[in-house]
Amino acid sequence: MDRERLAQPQGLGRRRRLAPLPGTSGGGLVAEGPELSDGEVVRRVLAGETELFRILVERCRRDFGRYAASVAGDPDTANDAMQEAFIRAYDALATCRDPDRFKSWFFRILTNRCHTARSKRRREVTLENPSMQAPDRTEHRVERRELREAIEAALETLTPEQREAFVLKEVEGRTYEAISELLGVGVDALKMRVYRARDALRTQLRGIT
Amino acid sequence: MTDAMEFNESTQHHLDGAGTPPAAADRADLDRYREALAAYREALTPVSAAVDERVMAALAGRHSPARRRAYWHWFVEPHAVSVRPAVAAAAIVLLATGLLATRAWLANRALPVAQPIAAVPTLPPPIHAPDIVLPEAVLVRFELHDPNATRVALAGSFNGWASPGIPLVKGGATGSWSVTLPLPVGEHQYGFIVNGKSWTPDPSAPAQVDDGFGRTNSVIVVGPRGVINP
Repeated sequence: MDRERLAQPQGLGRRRRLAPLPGTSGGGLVAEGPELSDGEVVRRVLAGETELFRILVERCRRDFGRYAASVAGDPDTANDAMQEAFIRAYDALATCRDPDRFKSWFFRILTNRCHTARSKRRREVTLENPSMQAPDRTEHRVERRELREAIEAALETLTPEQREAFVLKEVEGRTYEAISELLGVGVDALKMRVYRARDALRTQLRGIT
Repeated sequence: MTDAMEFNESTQHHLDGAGTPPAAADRADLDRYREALAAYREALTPVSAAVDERVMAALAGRHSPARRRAYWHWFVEPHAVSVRPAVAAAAIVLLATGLLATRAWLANRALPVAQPIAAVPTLPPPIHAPDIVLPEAVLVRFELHDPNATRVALAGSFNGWASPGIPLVKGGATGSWSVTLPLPVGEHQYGFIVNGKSWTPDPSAPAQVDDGFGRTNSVIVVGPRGVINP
C-alpha cells in the first residue's frame, strides 16, 4: 500500500494538517481531529474515501483477532479467514444498513468465514501425521499442552453458537452484555451456551489423568 | 454427559464473577478449568497485523463500494428524465415499427402451428351462379324385352366385360327386364347375357359395332345431360 496516499486520504490531506488516528498503529494512518466512529468511516468509504477502510480493518483485527484464531483453530487459518471476511465486507459495504453497528455486521461475516475455515481445516488435519508435531520436552510443558488440547477438543464438541459464546466470554473475557450487543442474542441464552461449553470442557479435563 | 461432569449453578455463577465460592467437591475441577483456560489463552496467536496490509493490497484493484452502491441506487431509485419531443417522436415511431415488424414476423412464423388441421372449419365450396356444375356420372336405364328369358344380365366396357354381368330385374308380366346404372360421360359398348349364355345386343341402342370376334356390341354415347342419340 502506498504510504504517501494513505497519509493524505482523498478530501482530507490538503484542507488541514492531519493528526494520527487514535487507536491505530504507528503513524501511517492519519485522520482529522477526534477519532472517527465506525459509522462515520463507513459513510466516508461509501462516499469514495476508500483508503479509510483501513481504519475498520485495523479496529476489527484488533478486536476480533483472538476470537478468529480461536474459532478458526489455528493462526494461518484465522489470518486467511479474516482477510477473506474483510474483502467480502468491503464488497458488500453498501448493504450494511446500520453503519454505526459495522462491527456487529462484520462479526457475522467473520464468524461465518471462521466456521467454514475450521470445518475445512478439520478435514485436512485428519490427513496429517500427528507424529510430525514438535514434541514438548518438559513435564510442565506436556501438562500445559494437554490442558490446551482439552480446550480444543471441547471446542470441537460444541455447536457453532456455543463456541462463539464460550470464546467471547472465557477466552476474550467480554461481559455478557457486550456479547449480547455484538451477537444480538439475549443474556440468558448466552449464559446457557457458556454453561454448556464449560460442562463440555470439564468433561474433557476429567479425561486427563 | 453425566451430572457429575457439570458445574452446578453456584459454580457457574462464580465463574461469571458472582455468587459464593464453589463447594470443595467442585473446587479441584474449577482450578483445573482455569488452568486449562490460561494455557489455551497463552498459546493462542491472534490474527497478525500483516493481514491489514494484505487486505488493503487485495482491495486496491477492486471497484469501490461507492461505485457498487451507485450502480444499485441507479436501478432502484426514481429518475427525472428530460427528452426532446422530436427525439421522443422518433423513438415512438421506431418502437411502433419494431412492434409491427415483430408482430408480422410472429404471425408468419406461427401460422402452420397455430392452425392445426382439426381446427380448420369445413366450409361448403362456393357456388358461382350461373355456372353449372356438371355431373361426372349420368344415370342410364338399360331395358330388354324378352318374355321367355329366365334371367338377364348386362356386361360392357363400363364393368370390364365381367361375367356373369350386372343382373337386370324383370318388371311384372310384360317380359321387360331393366336396370339403371350411373355411367361416366363418354362412349360405352355393352350387351345383354340372356339365361347366362346367350349374348344379345340391345335392339334399342342407337349404334351397333362388330367386336372383331364375330359378335355384335351395342354402343351408346353418354353426354352430360344423358344419352346422345345420333
